[in-house]
Amino acid sequence: MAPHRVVALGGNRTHLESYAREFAAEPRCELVAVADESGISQYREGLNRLLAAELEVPYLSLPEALALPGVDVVVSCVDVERRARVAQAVLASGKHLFLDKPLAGSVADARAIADAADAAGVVTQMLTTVHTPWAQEARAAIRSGALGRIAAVHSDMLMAKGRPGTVPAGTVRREHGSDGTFTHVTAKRELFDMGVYPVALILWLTGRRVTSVSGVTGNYFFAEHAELGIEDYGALLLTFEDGTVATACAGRIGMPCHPQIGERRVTLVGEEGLATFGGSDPHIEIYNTEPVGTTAPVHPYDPMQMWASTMRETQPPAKDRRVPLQREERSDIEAFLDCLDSGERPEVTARDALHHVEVLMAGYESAASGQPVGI
Amino acid sequence: MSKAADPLAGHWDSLQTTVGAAVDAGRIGAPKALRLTVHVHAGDPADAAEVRERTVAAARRCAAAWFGGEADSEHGVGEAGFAGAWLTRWPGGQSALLAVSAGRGATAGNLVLMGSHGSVYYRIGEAW
Repeated sequence: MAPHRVVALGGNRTHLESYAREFAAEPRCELVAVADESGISQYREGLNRLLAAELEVPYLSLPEALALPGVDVVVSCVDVERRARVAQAVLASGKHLFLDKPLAGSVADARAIADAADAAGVVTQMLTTVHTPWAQEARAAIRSGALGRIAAVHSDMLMAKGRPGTVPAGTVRREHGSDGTFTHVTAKRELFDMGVYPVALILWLTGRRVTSVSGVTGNYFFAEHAELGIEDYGALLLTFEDGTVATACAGRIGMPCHPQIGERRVTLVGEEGLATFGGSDPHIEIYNTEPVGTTAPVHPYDPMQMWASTMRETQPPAKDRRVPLQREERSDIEAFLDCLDSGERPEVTARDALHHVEVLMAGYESAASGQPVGI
Repeated sequence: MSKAADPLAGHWDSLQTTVGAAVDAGRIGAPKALRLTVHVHAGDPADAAEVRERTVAAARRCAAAWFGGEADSEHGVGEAGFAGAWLTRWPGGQSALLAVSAGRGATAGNLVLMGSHGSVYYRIGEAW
């Protein structure tokens, strides 16, 4: 019997599509159910039940799933607006919790999760890029001292998915800040959803707290975002308690606009110079007679190409001109399970992720006011 | 530091012209966002502040040319003469995020100009 019995919260068209499969494939785990709260939308429940059927496990209510014998791990990808309530229920039951990013849609919700995790004394971890080879190399470079004192850290996450160029000409975004709504079918708030990656990476690398945030958001590429009143791009200027500077650039720029999945990188600036580490480098490039495809049919429920389940239907062409060198990588879920087994603290806990939300919300506030916002 | 000692002036001009030609040809759609991360070698540490300011000024000129006008607001942070960053907005909604430093170490960095349906990438390296 596998040492960990896992319940997965959420369903298709969430990151649970991949997380649940990875837990199910892990020799250390047995996936025993997909579950969620009662009273959720028919759309969400239908997609949850579909994933349960694909994984050949029962679909249960949250209390039923948490009461299953031997369950000690929960992976949660529920809607952002419900994350705090669901996480508090899971943590109160004493289960370890692997969390989708971002932690929550408000500072109050994020703090509630962090407090519940601390009170429960269980292990929590949120998905980030810190376990990627390039992030690990960046941290090693800092620790080596080769760059001297680090004065600045800059990180980008520009996702090359979706069909761009559809935003109406003349669109000028007027940021209104966060109204607490983050769940939409066709698009996401990209400063929130993509911006959490560079913010989390910067905070992990520096190990310091941000004291001031300046932000800007834009509707630059997609009609879908503009129609929903949400941004497809965001940029942040951060200052830390010790004077360190950081910048984060995040958004969804469109499938044809990058040779791979997108620009994912971090740059360190130290007294001895600059070093950049990224998901695209080092790489080889291949030019041949194969056709180059840059567009795919637009899925009505996933025009931003967010989910594997919809991509199976639209079959976008492979982006394989630029191929990163193969490197060993420990996934977030492997790292989480390693922490459960070893007792070590995960690299990014719910408590750490609270500060990500503080930074992102300050970014929205700054983008709305045009002024720096203190934390 | 004399203007003649600035090794980057010609490169910025070439970059502005070449990217501008791509923009004018409609290859990326309407330019929307500029992301620049660059560290510039300053042979004499005493020159670092001037090198950095000159680089920021060149980047601002490029952005103004590509976005078709001057910015209407800017906020900057950082250490004087070493590593700084600027977030700049234009009346038409465009933005630039500039991270510029100068000092020891080789000149290196990267630039991305994102347009409504395409992007320009440029790696700043040995040629500078």
